[in-house]
Amino acid sequence: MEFEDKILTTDDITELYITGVIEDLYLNSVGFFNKGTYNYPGADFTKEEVQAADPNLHAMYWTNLCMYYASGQNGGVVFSMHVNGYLVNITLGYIQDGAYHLCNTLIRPDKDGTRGFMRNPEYHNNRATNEKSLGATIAYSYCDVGSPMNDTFMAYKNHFGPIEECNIRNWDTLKHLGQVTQNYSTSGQDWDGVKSEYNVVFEKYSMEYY
Amino acid sequence: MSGFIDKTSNIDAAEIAAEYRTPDQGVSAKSNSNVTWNEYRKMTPRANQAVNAITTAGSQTLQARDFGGTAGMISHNQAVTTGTSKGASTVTYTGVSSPTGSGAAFLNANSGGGFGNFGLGSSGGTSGISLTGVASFPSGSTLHALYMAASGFGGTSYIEVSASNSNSGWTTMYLRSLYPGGSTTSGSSTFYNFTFTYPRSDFTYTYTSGKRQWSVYTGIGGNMTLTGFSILLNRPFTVEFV
Repeated sequence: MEFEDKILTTDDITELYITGVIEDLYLNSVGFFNKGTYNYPGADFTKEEVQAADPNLHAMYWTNLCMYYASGQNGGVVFSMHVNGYLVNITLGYIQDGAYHLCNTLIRPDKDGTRGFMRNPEYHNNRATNEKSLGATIAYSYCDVGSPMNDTFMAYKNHFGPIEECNIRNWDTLKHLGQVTQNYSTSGQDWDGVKSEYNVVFEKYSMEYY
Repeated sequence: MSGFIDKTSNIDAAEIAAEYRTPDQGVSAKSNSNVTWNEYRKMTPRANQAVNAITTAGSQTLQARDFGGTAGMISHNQAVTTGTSKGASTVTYTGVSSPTGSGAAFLNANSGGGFGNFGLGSSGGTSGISLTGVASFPSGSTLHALYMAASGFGGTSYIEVSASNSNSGWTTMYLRSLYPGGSTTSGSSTFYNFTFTYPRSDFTYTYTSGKRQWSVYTGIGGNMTLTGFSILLNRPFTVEFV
């Protein structure tokens, strides 16, 4: 199994949208969103309206978000993981003051239809190497309250911590920092479909690198 | 300055070359002499006067008048956001706007204050494009903006023309996004250039200070049948008004 982690440009995001990859990533991720309390922060629609929306609208939402991070504004960066040349994951985050902040992830099965790559140390080593190459000395992650990802994080800590090959991220240092509330506004601008003022509560985690 | 190909005059190869000189390369103009009819074929919304019938180059009849009322442009695509971390909202502006188009107020991507190019190749300008002789627009009309502000689960697409107050001048608009080579592939699927159709009746008309504006919200709670202009992404595209 060969892994390659790339940093995507806005042109790359355009291509992924045109060829339906972002929509496919969404369709393979939405089931996990719905198991937790995942929401679309700032979207001025009910949860039912959002869930009933056509997948193409969701793909557009994610494309817009990816475009922002890929543009590099405010340290934004989009990683894409490829397993045997096939894109399986897009991760949105940003680098700020020597810290990598993981914000969103879309994931789909590999060419063989499995997600076993998630438990391969090389998957995480490749990604973490990229994060470090951008100047990160510590990583933070923000997870929806009630999401099963909170349990997954701790399961990963127990799984990867003792594995010697996991030598880029120090999984033993994974810590739950508690809940954080983030406030947002559109700075007085009237954006269709976006709340002018809103806040979201997340579970925040930190992890150190070797 | 680039312009729409006049539908009322004889259309010849030189006129098409002047507007469509660079089918696939955006602003990096290809020499006119190197552009073949098969390359032009990928760009017009029509083949033998039938809209949206083009799937493969070389398989259909092309007429010079298929280019009447069309122009090539280059879309710009840029996102802005309210914050830097998870939970932030993003608005993506896609299309073209002159410095006096409303898009320029939100996004000053070029030094001139607008974004995108009104034309293909080196003929493309940023100050708008004349609509004189196009569809039934009054003489002196200028297209200043054709863009979408997409956010959340939808967005608003705008067409802005400077002229006196009148909700007329066109009945249908066709947009055709241009892929390099006329198509793009992903896995075993091939996506050809596709034409999107926009009836004027789906748009809301307003008039303010010499600017005629047509707008439509596509997405949740809005028009679910039209495709927003975000489909233009950051690629060359052609426009036809009838």
